[in-house]
Amino acid sequence: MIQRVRLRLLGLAVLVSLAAGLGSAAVLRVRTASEVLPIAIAAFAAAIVIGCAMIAIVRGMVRRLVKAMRDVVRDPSRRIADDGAGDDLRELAEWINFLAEDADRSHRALARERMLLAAVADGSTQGVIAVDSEHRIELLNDAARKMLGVTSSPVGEPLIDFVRVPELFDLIDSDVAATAEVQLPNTPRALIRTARKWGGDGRVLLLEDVTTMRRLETVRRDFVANVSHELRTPVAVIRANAETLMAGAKDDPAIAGKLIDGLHRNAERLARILADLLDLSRLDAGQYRLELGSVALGPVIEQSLSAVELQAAQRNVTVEVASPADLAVRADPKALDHILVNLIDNGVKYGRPDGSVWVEARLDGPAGNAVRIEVRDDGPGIADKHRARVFERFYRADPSRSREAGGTGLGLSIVKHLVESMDGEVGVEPNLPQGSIFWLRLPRASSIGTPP
Amino acid sequence: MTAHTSKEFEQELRTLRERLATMGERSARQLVLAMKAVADKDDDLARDVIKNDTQIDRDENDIDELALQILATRQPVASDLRFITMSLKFVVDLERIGDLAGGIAKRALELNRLPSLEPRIDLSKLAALVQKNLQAALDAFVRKDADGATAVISADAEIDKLNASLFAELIAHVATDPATVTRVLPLTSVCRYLERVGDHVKNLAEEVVYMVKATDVRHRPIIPPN
Repeated sequence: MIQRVRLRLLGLAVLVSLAAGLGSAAVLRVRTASEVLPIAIAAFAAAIVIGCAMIAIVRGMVRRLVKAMRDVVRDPSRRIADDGAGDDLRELAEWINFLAEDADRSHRALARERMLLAAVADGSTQGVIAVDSEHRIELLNDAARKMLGVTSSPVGEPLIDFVRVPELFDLIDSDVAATAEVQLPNTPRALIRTARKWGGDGRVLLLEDVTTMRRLETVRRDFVANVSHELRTPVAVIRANAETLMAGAKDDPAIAGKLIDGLHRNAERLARILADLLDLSRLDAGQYRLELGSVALGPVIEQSLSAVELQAAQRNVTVEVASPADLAVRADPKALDHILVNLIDNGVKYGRPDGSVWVEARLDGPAGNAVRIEVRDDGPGIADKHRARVFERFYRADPSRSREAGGTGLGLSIVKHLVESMDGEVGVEPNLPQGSIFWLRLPRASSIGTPP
Repeated sequence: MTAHTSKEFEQELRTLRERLATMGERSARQLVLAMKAVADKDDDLARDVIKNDTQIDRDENDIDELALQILATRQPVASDLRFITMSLKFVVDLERIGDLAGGIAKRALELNRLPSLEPRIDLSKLAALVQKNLQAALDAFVRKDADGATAVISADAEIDKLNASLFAELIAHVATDPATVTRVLPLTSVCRYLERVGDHVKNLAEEVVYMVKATDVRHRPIIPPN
């Protein structure tokens, strides 16, 4: 292009010089040819020099314009300065400045839009994935990255380099709205939903963490199934015994005694389940009044041991206690007794016959401001899949065994509620190589007798 | 992938790569679930694993068909040809890994009927090593990482060693108490399946090296990556 301009300007200079030479020859036509020739040559040479100078000036201006344009392209906030160039060139510079301004504005608006989009997407608890028609990453928000266990997600890179979840790719290719529920690297249950197409064949997918929701659904379903089962069993026995008595067994003292005993035992069992259920619903509704104060641990543990003494003797289980004498926790004494009796009783009931149960209390927490109480046994332990659920209402790791042991299936959920109402925590861990550790953590009381 | 004049060709290669990677993920998932079924004594999970194997078989058929179609219609050369021939082998190894996961699930169903061995034999370390290696091989495949693949090949020796020591432990059980043989046999099978998965993972890694570097590293001494 520049080359062409340069050639044209050179041609123009030659034409001008020829015209000047011929013109001067015409004016001086009275002179002889020998006189005219030097003048014509001189005029021609002068015209060439002037032409070249003009070319140099124009080229300099174009070069400055190109340099200025380059600067504008590199930094859109810069403008071409008015340096006294000719009108045409000034207008050209003005138009370039106008274009640069427009580009600058669009650039800023686009950057703002991107920032807004990223802020909205990253603020969302839902995962958002956007890919283009070639399945390259356009956007992966924070939530999506977390759920997928992806640390970086460079825009423009193929999604498959970072994520390999088969269902996700099936959905990207799906032409209809669809969902899939899958396990993702950092999310046990995630719902993937196709959102919409964009920019041709690009796709937006939404990820939702439904782990808690699904767990609660299972808890609710199991609760309804279990509660009806737990209530139905004693009711069935009561009804059968009553019917047998009415059918004539009441007149046979040997059988009647047994049947009435059965009636009584199952009525007691029903009453226990109902009392526990009532306690739980009171705890749920916050109607269970707890009086928090400083409670010395030693005497409470002693007291709960006496409650399980008989059971321990029957199964020949040794209960060992290790608790510093002056340890005190902030708790309700009755609730704490209930919790300890429940946990130690479980240890005795579900541990090994002729085995041991250890009750241990010690300071815990970063500044020793909490007390951890552990009840360990050396029984068969609880399988991983049951361990997380043993605090649920009526959840039983081994249904036949626990019913045989006489539990209502509500003990541990009451324990959990009570501990949490006292600002504590409760949990269960395997006691390797065998058995379970039920632990609870309660705030430490500063000194015995002084409410904190 | 190098730029191709035909957009459809480009898309076919991309689809093939995605299908291979997601099939790999499916096989890896099956293996994790099968080992979980063994550890948790979970019959339902074991049955799920056996049922899900059909999806992996379908993947194998689909990918084979796609690769053959590309071969027939595009006549690929150089790196594309290596990628496609590699995918025909890759898919076989992935399918075998899926089958072995199914085998582990079947052994889990047998083991769940029997009391646990005491003291317990801990297969989790071997399983974790195999699973980690499988993920590393799939990573090397999508990232075209020959060094990563070479590391996977070297790591197989560790799997073989661990398998041998577990095997000796299991045999010792039978030696001390012959009555445990019914429980030991399915466990030795699980160990052997894991070791074979390890071998298939090694094959996958060798195929990745061939795809990336065009060098055949099968049946050769291992040169560790720099």
